[in-house]
Amino acid sequence: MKILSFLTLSCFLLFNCTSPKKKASSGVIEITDGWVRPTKAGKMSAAYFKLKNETATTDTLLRISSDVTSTTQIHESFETDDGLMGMREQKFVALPKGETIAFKQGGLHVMIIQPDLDLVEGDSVTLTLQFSSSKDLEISLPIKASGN
Amino acid sequence: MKQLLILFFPLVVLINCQSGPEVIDDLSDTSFKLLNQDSVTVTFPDDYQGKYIVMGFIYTNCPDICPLITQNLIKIQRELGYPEDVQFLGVTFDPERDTPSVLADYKEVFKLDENFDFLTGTSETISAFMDSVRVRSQVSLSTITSEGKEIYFMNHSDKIMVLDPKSRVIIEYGGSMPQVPNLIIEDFQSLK
Ligand SMILES: [Cu+2]
Repeated sequence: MKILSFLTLSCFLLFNCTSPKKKASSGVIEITDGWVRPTKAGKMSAAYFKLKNETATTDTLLRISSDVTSTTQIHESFETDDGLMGMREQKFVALPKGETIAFKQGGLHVMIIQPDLDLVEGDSVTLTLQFSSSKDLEISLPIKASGN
Repeated sequence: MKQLLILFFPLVVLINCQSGPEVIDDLSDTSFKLLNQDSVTVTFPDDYQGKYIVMGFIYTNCPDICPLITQNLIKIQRELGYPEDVQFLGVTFDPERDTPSVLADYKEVFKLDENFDFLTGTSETISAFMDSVRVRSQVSLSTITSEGKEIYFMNHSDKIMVLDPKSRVIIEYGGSMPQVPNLIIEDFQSLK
Protein backbone atom coordinates (compact mmCIF):
# COMPACT_ATOMS: atom_id res chain seq x y z
CA MET A 1 0.00 0.00 0.00
CA LYS A 2 2.75 2.38 0.97
CA ILE A 3 4.58 1.59 -2.25
CA LEU A 4 1.50 2.28 -4.25
CA SER A 5 1.08 5.66 -2.58
CA PHE A 6 4.70 6.42 -3.23
CA LEU A 7 4.36 5.47 -6.87
CA THR A 8 1.23 7.55 -7.27
CA LEU A 9 2.84 10.50 -5.60
CA SER A 10 5.93 10.22 -7.84
CA CYS A 11 3.75 10.01 -10.90
CA PHE A 12 1.84 13.00 -9.77
CA LEU A 13 4.95 15.04 -9.11
CA LEU A 14 6.49 13.99 -12.37
CA PHE A 15 3.37 14.90 -14.25
CA ASN A 16 3.18 18.27 -12.58
CA CYS A 17 6.79 19.05 -13.32
CA THR A 18 6.74 18.06 -16.91
CA SER A 19 3.37 19.44 -17.91
CA PRO A 20 3.90 22.85 -19.45
CA LYS A 21 2.57 25.78 -17.46
CA LYS A 22 -0.64 26.94 -18.97
CA LYS A 23 -0.57 30.33 -20.54
CA ALA A 24 -2.32 32.67 -18.14
CA SER A 25 -4.31 34.51 -20.75
CA SER A 26 -4.99 32.05 -23.53
CA GLY A 27 -8.66 32.94 -23.03
CA VAL A 28 -10.62 35.42 -21.05
CA ILE A 29 -13.76 35.69 -19.01
CA GLU A 30 -16.22 37.34 -21.31
CA ILE A 31 -19.13 39.45 -20.06
CA THR A 32 -22.19 40.09 -22.24
CA ASP A 33 -25.81 41.26 -22.00
CA GLY A 34 -25.23 43.34 -18.91
CA TRP A 35 -27.65 45.86 -17.45
CA VAL A 36 -28.54 47.52 -14.17
CA ARG A 37 -31.99 48.30 -12.84
CA PRO A 38 -32.85 51.98 -12.28
CA THR A 39 -33.52 53.07 -8.71
CA LYS A 40 -33.33 56.05 -6.37
CA ALA A 41 -30.31 56.87 -4.18
CA GLY A 42 -30.37 54.90 -0.95
CA LYS A 43 -32.66 52.20 -2.30
CA MET A 44 -31.95 48.88 -3.97
CA SER A 45 -30.90 47.83 -7.44
CA ALA A 46 -29.60 44.72 -9.15
CA ALA A 47 -27.12 44.04 -11.95
CA TYR A 48 -27.40 41.24 -14.49
CA PHE A 49 -25.03 39.84 -17.12
CA LYS A 50 -23.68 36.65 -18.63
CA LEU A 51 -20.21 35.40 -17.78
CA LYS A 52 -18.44 33.04 -20.13
CA ASN A 53 -15.31 31.39 -18.91
CA GLU A 54 -13.12 31.02 -21.98
CA THR A 55 -9.95 30.41 -20.01
CA ALA A 56 -8.42 26.96 -19.85
CA THR A 57 -9.43 26.32 -16.25
CA THR A 58 -12.35 26.51 -13.92
CA ASP A 59 -12.40 29.83 -12.15
CA THR A 60 -14.40 31.31 -9.30
CA LEU A 61 -16.08 34.69 -9.05
CA LEU A 62 -15.22 35.85 -5.55
CA ARG A 63 -16.32 39.43 -5.16
CA ILE A 64 -17.93 42.30 -6.97
CA SER A 65 -17.54 45.97 -6.15
CA SER A 66 -19.08 49.03 -7.72
CA ASP A 67 -18.47 52.72 -8.19
CA VAL A 68 -22.01 53.63 -7.06
CA THR A 69 -22.10 51.91 -3.68
CA SER A 70 -19.79 50.50 -1.07
CA THR A 71 -22.11 47.55 -0.45
CA THR A 72 -22.65 44.89 -3.07
CA GLN A 73 -23.52 41.23 -2.66
CA ILE A 74 -24.08 38.27 -4.91
CA HIS A 75 -27.58 36.87 -4.37
CA GLU A 76 -29.72 34.15 -5.78
CA SER A 77 -33.51 34.22 -5.77
CA PHE A 78 -35.04 30.90 -4.79
CA GLU A 79 -38.26 29.30 -3.65
CA THR A 80 -38.38 28.12 -0.04
CA ASP A 81 -39.72 24.71 0.98
CA ASP A 82 -43.00 26.29 1.97
CA GLY A 83 -43.50 28.07 -1.32
CA LEU A 84 -42.26 31.59 -0.58
CA MET A 85 -39.82 33.50 -2.77
CA GLY A 86 -36.64 34.72 -1.16
CA MET A 87 -33.02 35.64 -1.78
CA ARG A 88 -29.89 34.04 -0.36
CA GLU A 89 -26.35 35.30 -0.49
CA GLN A 90 -23.79 33.43 -2.57
CA LYS A 91 -20.26 33.84 -1.21
CA PHE A 92 -18.79 32.84 -4.58
CA VAL A 93 -19.87 31.54 -7.97
CA ALA A 94 -18.04 28.69 -9.70
CA LEU A 95 -17.29 29.29 -13.38
CA PRO A 96 -16.53 25.95 -15.04
CA LYS A 97 -14.30 26.34 -18.08
CA GLY A 98 -16.15 26.77 -21.33
CA GLU A 99 -19.46 27.41 -19.59
CA THR A 100 -21.70 30.45 -19.43
CA ILE A 101 -23.22 31.46 -16.11
CA ALA A 102 -26.15 33.83 -16.38
CA PHE A 103 -27.02 36.44 -13.78
CA LYS A 104 -30.67 36.93 -14.67
CA GLN A 105 -33.98 38.06 -13.20
CA GLY A 106 -35.35 35.47 -10.81
CA GLY A 107 -31.93 33.85 -10.36
CA LEU A 108 -28.40 35.05 -9.66
CA HIS A 109 -28.04 38.81 -9.37
CA VAL A 110 -25.66 41.40 -8.02
CA MET A 111 -27.27 43.43 -5.27
CA ILE A 112 -26.43 47.11 -5.48
CA ILE A 113 -27.38 48.11 -1.96
CA GLN A 114 -28.21 51.72 -1.16
CA PRO A 115 -26.42 53.43 -4.05
CA ASP A 116 -24.98 56.89 -3.35
CA LEU A 117 -26.89 58.45 -6.23
CA ASP A 118 -30.00 57.92 -8.34
CA LEU A 119 -29.44 55.24 -10.98
CA VAL A 120 -31.06 56.77 -14.01
CA GLU A 121 -31.80 55.11 -17.34
CA GLY A 122 -29.17 56.02 -19.89
CA ASP A 123 -26.37 56.29 -17.33
CA SER A 124 -24.02 53.46 -16.54
CA VAL A 125 -22.57 51.66 -13.53
CA THR A 126 -19.05 50.29 -13.23
CA LEU A 127 -18.54 46.92 -11.59
CA THR A 128 -15.22 45.32 -10.72
CA LEU A 129 -15.24 41.54 -10.63
CA GLN A 130 -12.61 39.61 -8.71
CA PHE A 131 -11.81 36.00 -9.55
CA SER A 132 -9.68 33.35 -7.91
CA SER A 133 -7.49 32.92 -11.01
CA SER A 134 -8.23 35.52 -13.65
CA LYS A 135 -7.30 39.14 -13.35
CA ASP A 136 -9.84 41.65 -12.04
CA LEU A 137 -12.35 42.67 -14.64
CA GLU A 138 -13.84 46.12 -14.82
CA ILE A 139 -17.10 46.42 -16.73
CA SER A 140 -19.48 49.25 -17.45
CA LEU A 141 -23.17 48.32 -17.61
CA PRO A 142 -26.01 50.46 -18.93
CA ILE A 143 -28.86 51.40 -16.59
CA LYS A 144 -32.14 50.45 -18.19
CA ALA A 145 -35.61 49.19 -17.44
CA SER A 146 -35.55 45.47 -18.06
CA GLY A 147 -37.01 46.00 -21.48
CA ASN A 148 -39.78 43.45 -21.78
CA MET B 1 -83.74 20.05 6.09
CA LYS B 2 -84.05 17.90 2.99
CA GLN B 3 -86.70 20.17 1.61
CA LEU B 4 -84.48 23.16 2.14
CA LEU B 5 -81.69 21.43 0.26
CA ILE B 6 -83.97 20.60 -2.63
CA LEU B 7 -85.09 24.20 -2.81
CA PHE B 8 -81.55 25.45 -2.52
CA PHE B 9 -79.99 23.13 -5.04
CA PRO B 10 -81.58 24.47 -8.25
CA LEU B 11 -80.64 27.96 -7.13
CA VAL B 12 -76.97 27.02 -6.89
CA VAL B 13 -77.06 25.38 -10.29
CA LEU B 14 -78.77 28.40 -11.76
CA ILE B 15 -76.18 30.80 -10.35
CA ASN B 16 -73.35 28.60 -11.55
CA CYS B 17 -74.74 28.52 -15.04
CA GLN B 18 -75.03 32.26 -15.26
CA SER B 19 -71.84 33.44 -13.67
CA GLY B 20 -68.59 33.22 -15.59
CA PRO B 21 -65.41 32.48 -13.69
CA GLU B 22 -65.25 30.62 -10.43
CA VAL B 23 -65.04 32.84 -7.37
CA ILE B 24 -61.93 32.04 -5.37
CA ASP B 25 -62.67 34.46 -2.54
CA ASP B 26 -65.18 37.18 -1.78
CA LEU B 27 -63.60 40.34 -0.36
CA SER B 28 -66.71 42.52 -0.61
CA ASP B 29 -67.33 42.24 3.14
CA THR B 30 -63.84 43.37 4.05
CA SER B 31 -62.70 46.95 4.52
CA PHE B 32 -59.17 48.22 4.93
CA LYS B 33 -58.00 51.80 5.33
CA LEU B 34 -54.82 52.02 3.31
CA LEU B 35 -52.66 54.87 1.99
CA ASN B 36 -51.56 55.30 -1.59
CA GLN B 37 -48.22 56.70 -2.78
CA ASP B 38 -49.63 60.23 -2.56
CA SER B 39 -50.66 59.70 1.08
CA VAL B 40 -54.32 59.68 0.09
CA THR B 41 -56.47 57.34 2.17
CA VAL B 42 -57.96 54.49 0.19
CA THR B 43 -60.70 52.23 1.47
CA PHE B 44 -60.13 48.80 0.02
CA PRO B 45 -62.06 47.36 -1.72
CA ASP B 46 -64.98 49.82 -1.56
CA ASP B 47 -63.18 52.62 -3.40
CA TYR B 48 -62.63 50.31 -6.36
CA GLN B 49 -66.09 48.76 -6.58
CA GLY B 50 -67.32 48.69 -10.14
CA LYS B 51 -63.79 48.21 -11.46
CA TYR B 52 -61.67 45.16 -11.99
CA ILE B 53 -58.55 45.12 -9.82
CA VAL B 54 -55.29 43.53 -10.90
CA MET B 55 -53.15 43.36 -7.79
CA GLY B 56 -49.61 42.25 -6.91
CA PHE B 57 -47.73 42.19 -3.61
CA ILE B 58 -44.25 43.60 -3.22
CA TYR B 59 -41.65 45.28 -1.04
CA THR B 60 -39.44 47.93 -2.58
CA ASN B 61 -36.16 46.67 -1.10
CA CYS B 62 -36.55 43.59 -3.28
CA PRO B 63 -34.69 44.31 -6.52
CA ASP B 64 -35.24 41.00 -8.31
CA ILE B 65 -38.49 39.06 -7.82
CA CYS B 66 -40.70 42.06 -6.93
CA PRO B 67 -39.74 44.05 -10.06
CA LEU B 68 -40.69 40.96 -12.07
CA ILE B 69 -44.13 41.12 -10.45
CA THR B 70 -44.37 44.86 -11.09
CA GLN B 71 -43.25 44.40 -14.71
CA ASN B 72 -45.91 41.74 -15.18
CA LEU B 73 -48.57 44.15 -13.90
CA ILE B 74 -47.26 46.84 -16.28
CA LYS B 75 -47.32 44.41 -19.18
CA ILE B 76 -50.91 43.39 -18.46
CA GLN B 77 -51.98 47.03 -18.29
CA ARG B 78 -50.21 47.85 -21.54
CA GLU B 79 -51.54 44.86 -23.45
CA LEU B 80 -55.07 45.46 -22.25
CA GLY B 81 -54.70 48.98 -23.66
CA TYR B 82 -54.73 50.93 -20.36
CA PRO B 83 -58.43 50.28 -19.70
CA GLU B 84 -60.25 52.80 -17.50
CA ASP B 85 -62.23 50.14 -15.68
CA VAL B 86 -59.21 48.14 -14.54
CA GLN B 87 -57.32 49.38 -11.50
CA PHE B 88 -53.74 48.17 -11.03
CA LEU B 89 -52.43 47.89 -7.48
CA GLY B 90 -49.12 46.99 -5.89
CA VAL B 91 -49.49 46.49 -2.15
CA THR B 92 -46.45 46.37 0.12
CA PHE B 93 -46.07 43.81 2.89
CA ASP B 94 -43.22 45.88 4.34
CA PRO B 95 -45.09 48.99 5.60
CA GLU B 96 -42.34 49.95 8.07
CA ARG B 97 -40.00 50.88 5.23
CA ASP B 98 -42.44 51.32 2.36
CA THR B 99 -44.01 54.63 3.34
CA PRO B 100 -46.08 56.57 0.79
CA SER B 101 -43.07 58.64 -0.32
CA VAL B 102 -40.96 55.51 -0.86
CA LEU B 103 -43.81 54.08 -2.93
CA ALA B 104 -44.05 57.34 -4.88
CA ASP B 105 -40.36 56.98 -5.78
CA TYR B 106 -40.94 53.38 -6.80
CA LYS B 107 -43.87 54.37 -8.99
CA GLU B 108 -41.80 57.11 -10.61
CA VAL B 109 -38.87 54.78 -11.35
CA PHE B 110 -41.24 52.38 -13.12
CA LYS B 111 -42.91 55.33 -14.95
CA LEU B 112 -46.40 54.20 -14.11
CA ASP B 113 -49.78 55.24 -15.35
CA GLU B 114 -52.66 56.95 -13.56
CA ASN B 115 -54.58 53.77 -12.96
CA PHE B 116 -51.67 52.24 -11.10
CA ASP B 117 -51.42 52.75 -7.35
CA PHE B 118 -49.11 51.46 -4.68
CA LEU B 119 -50.65 50.96 -1.26
CA THR B 120 -49.30 50.80 2.27
CA GLY B 121 -50.80 51.23 5.74
CA THR B 122 -50.17 50.68 9.39
CA SER B 123 -48.44 47.43 10.24
CA GLU B 124 -51.64 46.09 11.82
CA THR B 125 -53.81 46.94 8.82
CA ILE B 126 -51.31 45.55 6.31
CA SER B 127 -50.97 42.38 8.33
CA ALA B 128 -54.76 41.89 8.37
CA PHE B 129 -54.98 42.79 4.70
CA MET B 130 -52.29 40.28 3.72
CA ASP B 131 -54.10 37.59 5.74
CA SER B 132 -57.28 38.28 3.82
CA VAL B 133 -55.54 37.90 0.45
CA ARG B 134 -53.49 34.93 1.71
CA VAL B 135 -50.10 36.55 1.21
CA ARG B 136 -47.35 35.51 3.62
CA SER B 137 -44.08 37.29 4.31
CA GLN B 138 -41.31 36.99 6.85
CA VAL B 139 -37.96 38.65 7.42
CA SER B 140 -35.28 36.31 6.10
CA LEU B 141 -31.70 37.46 5.88
CA SER B 142 -30.37 40.73 7.17
CA THR B 143 -27.08 42.30 6.33
CA ILE B 144 -24.94 45.19 7.55
CA THR B 145 -23.91 47.77 4.95
CA SER B 146 -20.38 49.14 4.94
CA GLU B 147 -21.82 52.21 6.63
CA GLY B 148 -22.98 50.01 9.49
CA LYS B 149 -26.67 50.16 8.69
CA GLU B 150 -28.71 47.00 9.03
CA ILE B 151 -31.00 46.03 6.17
CA TYR B 152 -33.28 43.06 6.00
CA PHE B 153 -34.78 41.09 3.14
CA MET B 154 -37.96 39.07 3.16
CA ASN B 155 -39.33 35.76 1.99
CA HIS B 156 -42.79 36.27 0.56
CA SER B 157 -45.66 34.85 -1.44
CA ASP B 158 -45.40 35.45 -5.16
CA LYS B 159 -48.86 36.30 -6.45
CA ILE B 160 -50.95 38.38 -8.81
CA MET B 161 -54.72 38.27 -8.38
CA VAL B 162 -57.68 39.71 -10.23
CA LEU B 163 -60.85 40.93 -8.50
CA ASP B 164 -64.09 41.44 -10.39
CA PRO B 165 -66.16 44.63 -10.04
CA LYS B 166 -67.95 43.05 -7.05
CA SER B 167 -64.64 42.67 -5.19
CA ARG B 168 -64.50 38.93 -5.66
CA VAL B 169 -61.16 37.25 -6.35
CA ILE B 170 -61.61 35.42 -9.63
CA ILE B 171 -58.06 34.88 -10.89
CA GLU B 172 -54.82 34.05 -9.11
CA TYR B 173 -51.37 33.19 -10.48
CA GLY B 174 -47.73 33.15 -9.40
CA GLY B 175 -46.79 36.82 -9.75
CA SER B 176 -43.28 36.70 -11.20
CA MET B 177 -43.72 33.95 -13.78
CA PRO B 178 -43.08 35.20 -17.32
CA GLN B 179 -46.19 33.55 -18.75
CA VAL B 180 -48.56 35.29 -16.31
CA PRO B 181 -49.37 38.39 -18.40
CA ASN B 182 -50.56 36.25 -21.30
CA LEU B 183 -52.64 34.03 -19.04
CA ILE B 184 -54.37 36.99 -17.42
CA ILE B 185 -54.97 38.70 -20.76
CA GLU B 186 -56.58 35.52 -22.08
CA ASP B 187 -58.71 35.33 -18.95
CA PHE B 188 -59.81 38.93 -19.46
CA GLN B 189 -60.75 38.23 -23.05
CA SER B 190 -63.02 35.40 -21.95
CA LEU B 191 -64.57 37.65 -19.29
CA LYS B 192 -65.56 40.50 -21.54
CU1 LIG C 1 -31.02 39.94 -3.88
